[in-house]
Amino acid sequence: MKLTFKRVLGVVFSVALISTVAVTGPVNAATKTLLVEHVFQLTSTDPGRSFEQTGNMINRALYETLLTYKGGDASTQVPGLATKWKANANATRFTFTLNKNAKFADGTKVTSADVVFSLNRLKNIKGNPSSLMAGITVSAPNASTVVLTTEKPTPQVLSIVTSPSLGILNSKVAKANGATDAADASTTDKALEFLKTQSIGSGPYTLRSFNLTSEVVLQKNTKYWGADKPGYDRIVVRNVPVNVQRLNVIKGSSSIAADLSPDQAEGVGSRVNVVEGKASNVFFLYLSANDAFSPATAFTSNPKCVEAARYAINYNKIVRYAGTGAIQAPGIIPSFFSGALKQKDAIKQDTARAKAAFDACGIKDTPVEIGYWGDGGAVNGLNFGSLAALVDEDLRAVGFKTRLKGAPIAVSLPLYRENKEEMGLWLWGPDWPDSTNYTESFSPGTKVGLRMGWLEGSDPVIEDLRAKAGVETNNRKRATLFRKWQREMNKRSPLIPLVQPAAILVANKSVRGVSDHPIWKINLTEIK
Amino acid sequence: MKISKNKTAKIAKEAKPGNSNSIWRQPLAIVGVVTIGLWVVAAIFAPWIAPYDPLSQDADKFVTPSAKHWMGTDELNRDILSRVIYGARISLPYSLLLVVLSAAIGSIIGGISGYFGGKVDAVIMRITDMFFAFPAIVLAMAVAAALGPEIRNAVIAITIVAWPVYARLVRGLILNAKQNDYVTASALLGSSSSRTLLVDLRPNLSGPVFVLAALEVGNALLLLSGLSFLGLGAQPPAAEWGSMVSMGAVNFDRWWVGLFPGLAILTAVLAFNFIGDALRDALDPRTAKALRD
Repeated sequence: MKLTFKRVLGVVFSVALISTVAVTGPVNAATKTLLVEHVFQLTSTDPGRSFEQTGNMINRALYETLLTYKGGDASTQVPGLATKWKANANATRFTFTLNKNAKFADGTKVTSADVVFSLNRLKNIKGNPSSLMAGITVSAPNASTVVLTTEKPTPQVLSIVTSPSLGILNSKVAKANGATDAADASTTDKALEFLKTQSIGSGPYTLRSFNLTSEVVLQKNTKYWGADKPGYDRIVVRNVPVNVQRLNVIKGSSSIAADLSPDQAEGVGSRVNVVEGKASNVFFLYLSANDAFSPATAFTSNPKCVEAARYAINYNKIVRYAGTGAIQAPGIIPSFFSGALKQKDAIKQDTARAKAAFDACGIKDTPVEIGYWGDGGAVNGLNFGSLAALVDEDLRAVGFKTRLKGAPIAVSLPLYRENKEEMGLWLWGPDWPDSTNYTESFSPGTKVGLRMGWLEGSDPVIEDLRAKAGVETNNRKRATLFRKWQREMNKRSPLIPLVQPAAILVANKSVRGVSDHPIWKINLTEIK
Repeated sequence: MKISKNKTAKIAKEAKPGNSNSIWRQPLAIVGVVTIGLWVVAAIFAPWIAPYDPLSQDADKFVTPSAKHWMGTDELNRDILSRVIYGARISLPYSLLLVVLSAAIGSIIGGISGYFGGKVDAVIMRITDMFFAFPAIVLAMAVAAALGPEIRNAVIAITIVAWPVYARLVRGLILNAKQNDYVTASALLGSSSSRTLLVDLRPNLSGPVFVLAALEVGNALLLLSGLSFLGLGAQPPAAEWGSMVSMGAVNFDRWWVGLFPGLAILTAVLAFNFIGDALRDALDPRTAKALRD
């Protein structure tokens, strides 16, 4: 047969058509599928590198941790891979006994060597979540015991080990595919791409496919060792805008809409269940304390300027915008954590005080920019642009010459992280469910402290309270220290907590076991 | 070839502006002019016409259209009617500005391409081909995202996307016009290239470029609103029609939030298109006849 162009073209088209039909062929009707729609905050499904909420949600189902939480609770740890655990009196040594029945999805037994490898890899890979392992050393006296030691008292270790970033990998398979826990793992670990193609954990689900921007598909781990067997054959977590989430869940074409605001959840009808809770995110405004960054920050670094902004804001209006269930954030620590301030402690708008402080600050006609996630960015249904407009009006009312400078997240987030904003409007969600996450992140010289240009040594009182809260093991005394720390922050820090929104999950009535969690939003393994 | 007297008269009549094709004899054109006129009046006299400050957040949240708030209020308690009226101050002048910019840039580049021909023409035309190969909104989004979301950058982005269509048109007109004897004569008399382009050839371009520009204002307004809808144009708290529609899309059940700014875009774009069509009929009768036939 003569090979003409038309024939070649015909063959190519036929092959393409057959492949398309093969790939998109009918799904087995008996496959029980859960479809979760969510606005993705996702970088990978490598526990050592993933630190975002969507990553936590997915990794919570793929990898298991030593301890974990049930439902929406984030205060009482329950067994995960460890059946028993104990801490010494000054909270520097934590011993975990592994469950002897625990097995990875390929049938291999979970041993202490896997735990040591996974936690050391997380520490040495120097990814975003590596800070969780700061100051923690892991060792394995025998095959079923793991010991975590810290140099100074660190009671929050029991909370930290629940983070999906501390998920345990099958070390043998990981090593065979480029993973390493060596000290130079930040440059020598090559398992990132492999871990996007398959999971190597012991969780009730395994990774079927991964697409960073559209969807992640999980499938049932048929050999799951635990008592709580997976409820679905397949779970699809899909990246969908909020308004489409709402439409889909109402008409029944998705199982759960994860990101609706209270306003959007109104009138969703009786065919769905609405699970209401408090989000763990706290939205805040800050004024840069870096006096050398720009003409405006020469003034914003002046505490009087911060005072002017703090008392200029109409917090009630922001809470009204955030909708039913939202509350003013009296401090940066969310309401359900130890040491959270009460509503009576919250700053109230005082325009006269704000105007007096504004005059004393001297910024007058110097324009000041407010950076934020600008291309329609929204979390918990709260649009950053709308929040910025609310804050802008109040600041202008006392005399600030503010200018809103929103930008896509890829542009605005680095500016915030690199301390290149004059003022910023952002949020913080906990990395681990303990108030130390806030003292260790917002004090002078810490992660967000530095983003605000607030250097170590700037405020000895606040830094002293941070140090004391970090090593205190008595729960009551810890709570008192957290409250004191926040009150001092509300007096002198560049940080102005604004609002803790409501967290709304709207689920199809056939779906059971849905609850909102501060770290992983939805525990997919509990849904039946 | 002999042309009858009647036919000559008919051609002359069709070609003469102000006769049967006069813009004022077309009802749709009048609708367009009146609509744009109303929007221009709204834009100029917004502070007197708008019942409230467009940025004021003093009303209640999501009030349905009522006697107090004819178009209701939005998620930040702002009066939508006032914001729609003030929105005309952004959408109309910026759309006109970017059409003027793209027509000017495109005409200059097209003129150079057509007049000099050869390699210059080939290079410029391949560049325009590259621009035509991308959907305009996608290219504009990429440019706007790279420059940073701001209305000024959105105008730059759309100008970058919109100039090639003018370049193509002007190049064609120049190629055609430069065959004329008077152009050759001008060159023989020692005219410089710039004089030939600006004095001898330019009069051939004004009509078609003007018609195209008039037709493109609607598109420009749509692109500008589209970028703002995507968060890449006007920034909060500015009252801009595209960004207002995007808030309507988020608050789906509150139909009034997105509907009224959407209607504002619809009426303005439609009106510009009516005017553009009428201008084409009046100034470019050959194209108009070809379209009718």
